[in-house]
Amino acid sequence: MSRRITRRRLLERTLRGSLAGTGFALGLPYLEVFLNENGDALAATGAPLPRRFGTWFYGCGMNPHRWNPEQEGADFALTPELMPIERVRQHVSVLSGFGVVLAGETNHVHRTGVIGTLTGGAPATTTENDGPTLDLLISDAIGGSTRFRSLEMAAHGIAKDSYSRRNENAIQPAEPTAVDLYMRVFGSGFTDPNAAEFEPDPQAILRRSVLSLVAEDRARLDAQLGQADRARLDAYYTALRQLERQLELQLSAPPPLEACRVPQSPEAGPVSQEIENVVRNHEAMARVLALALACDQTRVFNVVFSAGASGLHTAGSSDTHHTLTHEEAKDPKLGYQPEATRFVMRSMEAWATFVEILASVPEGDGTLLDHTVVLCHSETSDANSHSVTGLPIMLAGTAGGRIRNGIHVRGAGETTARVGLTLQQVMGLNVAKWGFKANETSRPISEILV
Amino acid sequence: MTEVVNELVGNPAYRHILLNHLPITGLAVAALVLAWSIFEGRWASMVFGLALCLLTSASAVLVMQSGDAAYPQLFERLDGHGQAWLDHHVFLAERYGRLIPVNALLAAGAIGAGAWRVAWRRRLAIAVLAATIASLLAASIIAEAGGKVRHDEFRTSNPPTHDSQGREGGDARPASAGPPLAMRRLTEAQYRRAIADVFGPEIEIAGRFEPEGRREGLVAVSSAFVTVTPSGFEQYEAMAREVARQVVAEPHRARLIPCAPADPARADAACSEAIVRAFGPRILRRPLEQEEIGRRVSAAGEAATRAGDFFAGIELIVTSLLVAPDFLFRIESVLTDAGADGLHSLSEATLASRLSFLLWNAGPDDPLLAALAEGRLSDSEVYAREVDRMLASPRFEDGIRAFFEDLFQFEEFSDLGKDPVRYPMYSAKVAADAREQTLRVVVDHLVAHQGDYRELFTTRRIFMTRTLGPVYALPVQAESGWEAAEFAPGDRRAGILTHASFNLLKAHPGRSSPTLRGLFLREALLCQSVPPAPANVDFGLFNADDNPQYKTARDRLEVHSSSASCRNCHALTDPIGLGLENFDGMGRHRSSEGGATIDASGDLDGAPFGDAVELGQVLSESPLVGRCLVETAYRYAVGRAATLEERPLLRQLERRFEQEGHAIAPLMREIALSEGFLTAGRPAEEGGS
Repeated sequence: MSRRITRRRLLERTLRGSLAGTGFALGLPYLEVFLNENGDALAATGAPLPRRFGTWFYGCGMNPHRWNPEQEGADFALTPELMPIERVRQHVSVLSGFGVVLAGETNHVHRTGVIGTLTGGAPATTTENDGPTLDLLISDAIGGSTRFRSLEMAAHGIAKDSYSRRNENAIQPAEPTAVDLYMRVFGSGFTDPNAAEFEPDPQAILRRSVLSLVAEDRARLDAQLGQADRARLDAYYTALRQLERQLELQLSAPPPLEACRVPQSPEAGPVSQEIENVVRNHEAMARVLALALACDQTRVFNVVFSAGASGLHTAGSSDTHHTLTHEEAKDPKLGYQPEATRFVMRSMEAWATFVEILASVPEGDGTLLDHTVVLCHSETSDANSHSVTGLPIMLAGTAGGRIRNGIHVRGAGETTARVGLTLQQVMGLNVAKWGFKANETSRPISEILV
Repeated sequence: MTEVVNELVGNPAYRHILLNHLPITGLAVAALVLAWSIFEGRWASMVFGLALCLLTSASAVLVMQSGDAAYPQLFERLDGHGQAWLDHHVFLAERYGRLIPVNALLAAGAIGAGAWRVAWRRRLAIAVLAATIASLLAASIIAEAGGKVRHDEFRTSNPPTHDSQGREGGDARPASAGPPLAMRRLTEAQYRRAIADVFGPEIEIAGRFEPEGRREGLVAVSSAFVTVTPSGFEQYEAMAREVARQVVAEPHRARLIPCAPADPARADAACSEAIVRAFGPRILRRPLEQEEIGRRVSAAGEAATRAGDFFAGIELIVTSLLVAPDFLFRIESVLTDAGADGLHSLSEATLASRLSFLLWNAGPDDPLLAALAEGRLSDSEVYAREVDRMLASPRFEDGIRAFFEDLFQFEEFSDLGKDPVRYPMYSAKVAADAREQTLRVVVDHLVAHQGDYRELFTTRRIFMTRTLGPVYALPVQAESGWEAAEFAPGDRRAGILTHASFNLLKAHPGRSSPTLRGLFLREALLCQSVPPAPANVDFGLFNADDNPQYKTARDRLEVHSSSASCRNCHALTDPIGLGLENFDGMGRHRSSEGGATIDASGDLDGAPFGDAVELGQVLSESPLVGRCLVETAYRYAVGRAATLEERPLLRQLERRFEQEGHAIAPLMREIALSEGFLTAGRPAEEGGS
């Protein structure tokens, strides 16, 4: 029953299709063979190049007066704390002045800012959120056709610091090292879409029968449970079905992908919250992730560079970024906390590196980044006062030409739910309004829409 | 406007606060008016004074009614001290509060009698005045305790403990069919233990577990809330496959697989069934139904035929058991028939699991499973015998260890890191040994020596390894392994608070943290709640430890105390946290910081201490410590916070704990035999989520 599907057969099929009779041969570069004539879709399936969404989070914000640009539009001058993104500024749009509207809710420090931006609602308590996070809304809509609905990673090495949350009881754990991320994506179960031959993994068939065996117990268990626990069991079965789907994908040959290269495993290095280790781990993760995207293993990702209330520190110091934001004296001449701000600058540099890595992978007639949009955000603006107004927000990538890059848009103290709404619409979700209570909005940020 | 009125009148707590001034300030004014009228001698004035006494005294009825109604909603929100003060307030109100309405009757009687007999008027008024003053005294005594319920600034002493028989909640009490069941996800430790119990400790488990969280101070409670995410499930499935692969492969196959197939290249239903029967009940913690067995046997058969390998089918069986929701979750159920009190007994399988996870932190063993399979566990004598057998087993240590790891928040060790330049002595081995050291002291004291829980904070007994020697500046003879030792009398260390474990854990990567330490003492050991920091704190004055102005942590934290918004919470945490300042972020002893001598003195709710050793002494004498352990152990056992209806049970458990010399085994036994542990409401009757 395991019919051998060779790459050759796939190519023949391809050639008989859109490119038949045009004289192309196997010796041609991948690009022409795999893409349609416009260069924006895969020839094999006729499907457009995948569109991806990601988040990139770092902790403890910035100094608003040194971060927020003065001018709006395309010709804004980079401010001191945005200087690190100079090398990628053409790929990045800056959104300043958007925040989480509290409207009477408590500002749960280092929580409200991030959960508010990602769920569109200022959480009333520390144990409940108003809804799932943005990445889940998007992966529920577009994540079904890839092996992983989403990939989470935490460069500071703490798996539980993840902001991809169905609710506070269902936090998707992050891969804490680049090696873990590599093993998850390119370890067992990975099928190279460009491999010459495809043979379905017999293990996948066995694994599928295990899952269907387990699924049959459901009715018996459900009968014993109250409403809340039934919902939790439901989450379990959703997770199970997701794995079933993943196994199904492994049983058929993936369409070839021009941009996909199988990377070498990254080297295992020290993982800790010491800034140099985090930067190194982050860069290695970004490289693995870029190829995971190029190989269409997932279309949604969440990167945590440092957690909220960031524990990043420099070797030999008794302080962390977070404690510095509260305890370091403002330099009277400079007008900001120099040590704490150093971590802001390192975070901005890391963000620029991340953007650069996605932009370095050619795909279609552009790069991987062109078919992606990444939301960079933090849980505070001024971390010293835990401010959730005017949060630092950036978008990188055009999501397939749908978003304008290289501009600055200033919000007038409006809700970050506008950002979330815009991103959902850009990712093809059919939503007209989003957010909860005071953060509800029906106004996407039209300035950045193409 | 109507909303405001509705809130003021409709909310009993509000009503109580609005009205409770009447029986005090109102009564005092009434007494003064009455006294003046007696002096003046005019009957009309006396009637006015008497009427005032009547009204203000009668208001006490409304105050007590609204107080009763507000009790449940208020109790839930209070910390340990506040709850104790509330109980005391209620106790005093019940004892003395009745006097006050009696005064209203007296005043009414005096008005009536005075109208009738002119000669009695003055004497009647004097009698009512005396009763009014007595009422005022009673009201003041009640109010004095009441003020301390919410206002910690009034709490100058510890709340008195007395045997108030927990209260019926009044009208506001939600009609509940009983406390809910808990569907708990196995913790990482429980998962690992289950694999080791069923397949032996040689089987390796490679994978990552989902975050466990912490609610009501415990992972055990959080485990009743967490679910499984897609990536978490991926991990469970990968771990299950890896375990199954090892189980059917040599060298483990010979040891674990109870039968040999007729032909190893083909399916063998009889042998497959024997294997399902051998592993199934131990993994799923209950007997399997024939239908469940049959499905697995036939799926194994298909897999074996497809792969041409009998053991491929067995791998499938083992994997399917290890990813089953009723393995990964402890799914509880109750019997259909309710008792006279509307409570349902737990099903026998639920009871067996609750018991064995409480006492051993593991699933039921073979004797317990046998009692379960034979339906004997509902016999209370059989059950009690099982409780005693398990308490007497060496595995009780595992259970106590797990409980204290949870209580002490030791899972945080897995994400612990220290700055290598500041603390070159730190290593993963130091952290692991420090954690193990405290657990050894706990188990040795509480289980091996059946000691008093409170003595954990004063005990000089310690266990050392070579790795820990330099941290404690103590010589260690043993080249490897553990060595029992004792801190000398007068040593700078005694009691578990002075161990490296807490001081490592409750600290920043590069320095100590009196606030984190104090918070831990308050919340975990005293069951008091400390409000979270406000968002808009001004830390402008507060400088890092390289600022020459503030050398010690005390200097820096005193800045907090100068700001009103910080003071309230930091006044709860810092004074006791500073008691541990003689231990740095690594747990090493130090007597100075930044060249300044460390002052580790302070007071715990009025009880003074000079250093960490004395802090342990003072803590061990606090009435809250034992009470907190009982409450925490109960939460741990049932996987949820105690309900209001269970408070009498908690008080009873507390008394028994005291009577048994604060020993842990009798406490666990009492819990395991308590109604709260043995019964629950039916899930279908739960309203909402």
